[in-house]
Amino acid sequence: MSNLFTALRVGAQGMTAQRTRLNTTASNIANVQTTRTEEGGPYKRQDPIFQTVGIDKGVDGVRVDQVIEDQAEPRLVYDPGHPDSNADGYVAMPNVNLVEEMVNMITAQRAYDANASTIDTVKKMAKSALAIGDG
Amino acid sequence: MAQAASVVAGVALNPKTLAPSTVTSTKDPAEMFHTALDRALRSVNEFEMESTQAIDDLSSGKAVSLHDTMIAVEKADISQRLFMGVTRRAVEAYKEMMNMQI
Repeated sequence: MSNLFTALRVGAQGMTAQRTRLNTTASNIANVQTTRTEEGGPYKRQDPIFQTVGIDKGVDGVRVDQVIEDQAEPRLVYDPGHPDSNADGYVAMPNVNLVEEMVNMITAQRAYDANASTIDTVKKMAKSALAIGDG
Repeated sequence: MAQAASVVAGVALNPKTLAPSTVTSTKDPAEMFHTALDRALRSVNEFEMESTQAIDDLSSGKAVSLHDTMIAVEKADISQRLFMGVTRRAVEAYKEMMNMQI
């Protein structure tokens, strides 16, 4: 089944996976100070889990298996005037580290670009194959 | 050859107007060429329809990713170039044969 378009499909799956990663990172950054969620408690940072998709021998695509919530403890910040503070005056803030999220965002972008290069290369290979016999 | 000419014009054929496939699998070399051309043309048309559909989905705002649309367009482009390259060479070979002095 492996043909020229297999690499295109793998590259496309990679780009979709990195886009999901960017979406979760964006969500983490936007909710860095969110203290109220539907389940109660502060926002928990989210992480996508990637899984391989077998396409051919030695060729694996990728998909997002699930998006998990980081179970690390929330940061406690002393702010007794805050409406969501507990009895001791501490507010539970999300366990989101902005620097870490920026790094994740950059890696997602680089991986997205790399997958786009894969697809460009497939097109170039196809063009040079089609040019056989023109010279 | 009439089919090849219509393909060289680069028209995206609607499967409704395309005549139903009259090819049957035989071992006659002339029939095999016709079969291969017919199959290739249908495959090119399928990619072309997928690409048009993907562009429509993107512009109408359906939740389709941008890179999937671009890839569908590129697939249609590659398969069409391949088909036209093969057709051109087949026609050239035919012309060379016809120019042979008897």
